[in-house]
Amino acid sequence: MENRIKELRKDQSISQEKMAIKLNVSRQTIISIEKGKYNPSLPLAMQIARLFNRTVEEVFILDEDDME
Amino acid sequence: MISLKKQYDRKLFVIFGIMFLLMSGLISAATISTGVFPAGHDIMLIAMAVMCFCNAYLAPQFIQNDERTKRIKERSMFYSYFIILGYMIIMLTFLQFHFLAITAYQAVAILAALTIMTVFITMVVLSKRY
Repeated sequence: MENRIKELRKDQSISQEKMAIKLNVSRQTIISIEKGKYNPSLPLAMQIARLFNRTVEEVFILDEDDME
Repeated sequence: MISLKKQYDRKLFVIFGIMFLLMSGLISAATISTGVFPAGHDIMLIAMAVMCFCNAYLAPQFIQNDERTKRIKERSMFYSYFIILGYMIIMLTFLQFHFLAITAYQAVAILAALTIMTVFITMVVLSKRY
């Protein structure tokens, strides 16, 4: 699943470390989510969206591949 | 404060890993030279060295027990279960057809060492994947 975390994080000048501390996860988890290697759970996805004052759909993009 | 703790954990695991590696090298050299390799405890020391090095890599990520860490642990247990079953099938075959002539102590030590190494190596592989 693709996402706009990196873009939104840079817009709001939030570092990966700061974001990890705010979400109570490791920095590696943020890196994996940004790269699309790991899909977060619904509560974590909602927390990420809330951190950027966006909706989940604005942060995470559902591909055709994800539907299969 | 958090980053200091992470570095400390990693260093400690590396130190223990080197210590176990040196000990296993010494004991393995002794068992090989006397022709009793694998004695059992020598393989366990190798497994402990592997475990320490894997933990040194995993510690900074695993110190925060978040959902990704839990998923890595869960998946690694799942894959390890089948790999360990594979070891057991191979070992049973070897023992049944007398390809291997080892004592029960050696067999259990080999299986324990393989189990430890498999679980931790699987965690490292999965942490690269997720």
